[in-house]
Order: sequence, then C-alpha cells, then structure tokens
Amino acid sequence: MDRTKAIADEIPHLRRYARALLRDSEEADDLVQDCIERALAQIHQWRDRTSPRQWLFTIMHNLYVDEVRKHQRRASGPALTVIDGDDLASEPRQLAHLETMDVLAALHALPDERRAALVLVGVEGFNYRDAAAILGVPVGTLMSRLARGREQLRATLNDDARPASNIRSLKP
Amino acid sequence: MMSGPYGAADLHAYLDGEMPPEDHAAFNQWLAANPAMGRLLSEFEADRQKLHEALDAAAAGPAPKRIERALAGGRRQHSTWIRQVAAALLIFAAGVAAGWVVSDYAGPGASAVAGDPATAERALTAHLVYVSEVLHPVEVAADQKAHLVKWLSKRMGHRLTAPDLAAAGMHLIGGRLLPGETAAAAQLMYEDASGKRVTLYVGANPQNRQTAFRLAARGSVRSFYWLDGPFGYALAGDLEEDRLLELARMVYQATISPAAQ
Repeated sequence: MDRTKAIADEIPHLRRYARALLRDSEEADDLVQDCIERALAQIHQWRDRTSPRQWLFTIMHNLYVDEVRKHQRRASGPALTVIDGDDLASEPRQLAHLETMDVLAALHALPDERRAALVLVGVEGFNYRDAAAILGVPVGTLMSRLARGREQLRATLNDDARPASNIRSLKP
Repeated sequence: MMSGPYGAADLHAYLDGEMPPEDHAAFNQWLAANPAMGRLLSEFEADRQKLHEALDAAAAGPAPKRIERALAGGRRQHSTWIRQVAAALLIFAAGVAAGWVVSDYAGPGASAVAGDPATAERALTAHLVYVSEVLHPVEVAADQKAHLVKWLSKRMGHRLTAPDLAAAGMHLIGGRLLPGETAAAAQLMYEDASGKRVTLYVGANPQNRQTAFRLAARGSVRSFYWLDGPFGYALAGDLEEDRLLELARMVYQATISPAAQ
C-alpha cells in the first residue's frame, strides 16, 4: 500500500484527535502538520505490523507531550468562539453549535491524560492495548484514566449526576 | 444483588468492546438486576455519542492547504517561504522608517575586509521570523544537542559548533536548517531567563575569508556579523549593542577556526 496515501487517509482522524488535545483549531492543525512532517521524515521506521493510524497517533501524541513540556501550554480559560452569520441563521443549528461548545468545554476541562485516554478509546475506537501503546503507559493505567475521565465528563455534562462511587454504594 | 461478579469498572470494558463475548450474558443479567448500573451505562453511552459528534463538528471541513503541502513533502518550505516574504516586506518597511545602519567594529581578526552584508540581511530576516515563534521556534530542540549539531554540520558540510553562552545567561533552545544564498544555512536560538532570544545564523564562507565584526541593524534588532573559517556568522537580537557585542565575542571565541588561532 502506498504509504503517503495511507497517511492521507488518516488526516481526518488526526485532525479530530488534535482538536481533542488542543482548544484552538489553528494550533490543532499545526500539530497535524507537524505530525505529518515528522511521519514522512521517519517513514522508514514504520513497521508494517503497526497500523498507520496507531503509528501516526503515537507520533502526534509524542509531539503534543513534547510541546506541553516545553511550553507548559495547557488548556485553560474558555476558547474564543466565532459564531458567524451562518450559525445564527437557524435556531436549531445554533443550539447544536452551543451543545458542541459545551461538550468540548467539558472535554477540555479534563486533565490531559484522561482526555487523551477517553478520546482514543471512546471516539477513535482504539482497543485498550493499542491506546496504551500510543500513550506509552500500561493497560491498567489507561483503564483507570479512561474510567476517571468518563466519570468526570459525565459529572460535568449532567449537572445532577452523582459520582459512580455513590451509586455503587446504593442498596437496591 | 449488588455484590455480583461485576462492578462499575466492567461497564467500561463492556462499553469499549473489551469484555469477552462469552461474559455478555452474565453481565446483562447482572445489569438487569442493578438498574442504577444500567442508567450509568446509558449515560456513559450517551456522553460518548455527544463527544463523538462534538469532535466531528470541531474537525469538520476540508484540511487546510498547509496540511496537504506537508503531505506532499513540503517540509514547511511554502509556509516558511510565505512568512519570510511577509516578514521581509514588514522589515523593509520598518527599515525604511527606522533607517538602516551598518558600521564597522574592531573585530576578531586584523583584516578589515568587509563581512557579508547579505548574510546579516538573511540573519536578521530569519531572526525576526522565528524569534517570536511560540509553537515552533526551533526544528530540533537543545535536548537533542548532539543530534542537532551533527545534523546541521552534515547539511552544511563543515563541523559546526553550538557555542555555550551560559556564562552570559543565554541558553541554547535549539536550531533549524534554513536556505542560505547558495547552500544550507543554520540558525541556533538562545534564550535568557526573561525569555529574551538571540539567534546565531551560520552560513557558508566558501572563500574561507576572515573579517572584522560589523554591525547591522533594523529598528531595534541588531546583528553583529563576521566571516571566519568555513562559515559566516551573524548574531542577531533585540539587545543593547554592548550586550550583543559581548555575546558575539563569546561566539567568536567558541567557534574560532583553527587557521585563525
């Protein structure tokens, strides 16, 4: 299979994961661009037994972690949202837009590690083993980050939600 | 029936398709007997769906052109090129406004041969383009210094030294490869504790000439430049002249070519 084509096919996934890692869409696309450049430079290191998606996500995740370490850039404060005329045109579209913003805000309120685990498994569909490999952590660590991330997201999205630890102690 | 063989942790394994199919029947039985767990599972599922839709919406639309260019093997050349042109236009305007100063300095060697003003030009442009970069100030970071120096040396065809300017409070943060006049050039970037940056531009000196320090300036950004051994150097920064000269002397001492010793 043509490797450049294989990389091209992953761009929508890479952009989506980048948007989970970074609030700002420009920065997210910068990260994707860097990832592709790095991937092309290291293409000889790509082993055929690794899926292109896993390989590219690993590269992108490492770039992101390096960047955060270097600049301590963290998601903080609300993202600037430009609502253009098109979004204001119809109420249902606007409401959908606001819901998207709410969900993204809740996602970005999660600690980096939980956010990454939640999106890799829940949205990008990686199994636990591959997601753990991308993040460079043991599977148990991934599972605990995932569970906590999911719980925290639920608590944010559903104001009246009780933490699962309380539910577990309820008597039927 | 709360104390069954399953617990909240199994909700995730089930949701993520990590539970062996042979366990599903027993798990579903347990779920039926624990409505609170069933509700929790539904909420997790609904949240997952919302998250999926929100991220799809956030990343919708065609990928920007720069991503396609990167895929075509552009190595950022287009975007860098465009930014350099933009910066050069800006600098030209600023230069016209502020005046363009070139003056002689008592230099490292006895020779009074003029340095290469074009090197200083390129150094100043490169400095202004990259010094304000937050995301990608350098291509290779200083934590891979050995690799950085080896890589740049290889591309330039001569052994390059990354001078240690720590004594003057400047620490190497990394470097990048740039187009020079006819061959590759390198830029090393240093930063002090306050975030002030200077860049050292290293270009080719095919005639192996040696020159005095000369000073070029555009607005408040100055550059000392000189030729020595296989390289032409230009140290650029938005610093006082004396401070920049002190750093230039340190660079000269650290990079001094064997022929000049």
